Amino acid sequence: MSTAATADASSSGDTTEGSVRLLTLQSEDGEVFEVKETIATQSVTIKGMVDDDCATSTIPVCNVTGRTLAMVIEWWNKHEIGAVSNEKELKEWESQFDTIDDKSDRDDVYDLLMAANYLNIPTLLDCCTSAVAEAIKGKSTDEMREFFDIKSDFDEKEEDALRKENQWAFEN
Amino acid sequence: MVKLPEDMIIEILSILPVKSLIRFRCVCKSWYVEVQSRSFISKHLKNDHNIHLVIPHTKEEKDLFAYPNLSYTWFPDKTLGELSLQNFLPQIPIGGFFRGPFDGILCIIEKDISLYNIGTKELRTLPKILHYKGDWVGFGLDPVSNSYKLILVDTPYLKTREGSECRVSPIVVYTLNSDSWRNIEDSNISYIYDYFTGAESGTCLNGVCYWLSSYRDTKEAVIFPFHLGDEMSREIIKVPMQEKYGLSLGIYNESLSLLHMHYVTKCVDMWVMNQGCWTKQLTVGPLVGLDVCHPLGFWKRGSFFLNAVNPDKKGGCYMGEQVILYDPSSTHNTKYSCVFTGYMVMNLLIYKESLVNIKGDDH
Repeated sequence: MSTAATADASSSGDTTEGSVRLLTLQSEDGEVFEVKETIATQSVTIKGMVDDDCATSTIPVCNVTGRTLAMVIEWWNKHEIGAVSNEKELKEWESQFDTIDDKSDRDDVYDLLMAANYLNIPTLLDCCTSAVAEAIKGKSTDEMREFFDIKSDFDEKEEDALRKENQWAFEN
Repeated sequence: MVKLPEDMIIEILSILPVKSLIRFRCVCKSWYVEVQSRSFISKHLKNDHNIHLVIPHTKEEKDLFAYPNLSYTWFPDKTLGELSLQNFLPQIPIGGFFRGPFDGILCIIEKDISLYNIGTKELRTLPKILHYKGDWVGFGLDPVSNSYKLILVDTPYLKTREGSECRVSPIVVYTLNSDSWRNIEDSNISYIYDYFTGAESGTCLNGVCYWLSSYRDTKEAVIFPFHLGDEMSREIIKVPMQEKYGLSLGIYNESLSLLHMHYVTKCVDMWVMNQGCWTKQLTVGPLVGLDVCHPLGFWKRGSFFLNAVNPDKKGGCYMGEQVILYDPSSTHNTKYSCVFTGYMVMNLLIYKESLVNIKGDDH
């Protein structure tokens, strides 16, 4: 996945590009990104900082790595309000999450999910939760335990009884 | 490996289909408790995932007046783009006539009256009452008693025509928590004349059920409300238009909303009620090239369904209707698409899967 900083690095936090203000975001591991304010305010958290005039210097994005932040920015660029987004392209980008059974893909989605939650980006949060839901909805209980790393605390008898109660839900 | 925090997992679980959740209750004890909690059930109900479109229609033109032979085509996918049509009726365990679904639950009216959660397959037969036709049916959560209530209204129009007086009162309310019926005397119902095809299942929102109707004397369109908390109508609601044709009542953005088709201008207005006032949210059209009959109801995110005459006429013959999905926020040149073609498409059902417990075990 490519890094998606939108402008050359600059030291000042309130650089302008034309009439669009640029914000400087710094990831947990120190990577710096310059992002158009109009794009970054898709994050409710960042919008709050801009509205409160707290976004004049570098904004630290704790808990989010540079790799993940780059993915978030790529998402923002594709979802910029007013941009004529190419729906097909958007679907393609979203479809990369279709195979999240692969461990590294799953970790990417989890990272994005946590970032979307931290930065409060409802559309990205929706997209990630939907991707995971889509991937797990057909799983068996054992596969679910493995997927979420959960140990069952039902004993065998209890689980059997529960299964019998709603056998249809365990059949295809 | 990244491990997701509990609240993120609940976020994901809350958008899963009911069948998956019934199965995943067995993953561990905390999930079992969570999935059956009131807060989870209500969260699961609020999102716009696992919503299905069901279209009642007849298969062929010759079945036009064969109401009992109505087919129910079910779009089981969440996106209408990927159609895999199925028949909805096998989802229902017993025959007979039904209203709803309301929060995923059907009210089945035959010799007995039953509630049926389509998703969890739970069926509850209610205590017997005097015969009700269920001209209007509503089912919703009363926030005051925190119990679901079923309301049946037999409209005075039909009562007069048939001259039958087998009921004490035209309105009855069933309370799930107490498993009991109550007769309601409500004088407002006598001002109401008739009901709208497709509007027999009320729209329930925040503890109030609403039905599209009209005044007995002026024939003006109005909305008849019923407050589940105090079990009365309080006040009949006026609508911002005079005529009673081309209307559809529904919910948009958590508010009571009306779709109104103007037959002359070929435009559709969307009206939204906020704090007792109607505001025109949107006008779309004129819908050139569509022979629109009437609005059918809301779908997701402000999009809505219309029905239109099938333009594909063979020698001018009636070839049925189309269900048109109109999406005002679409970036395409044409904001509408045909999702279904069939005969006698008069209304449609929106089925939202739900975990609402009608067995009452937890009460």
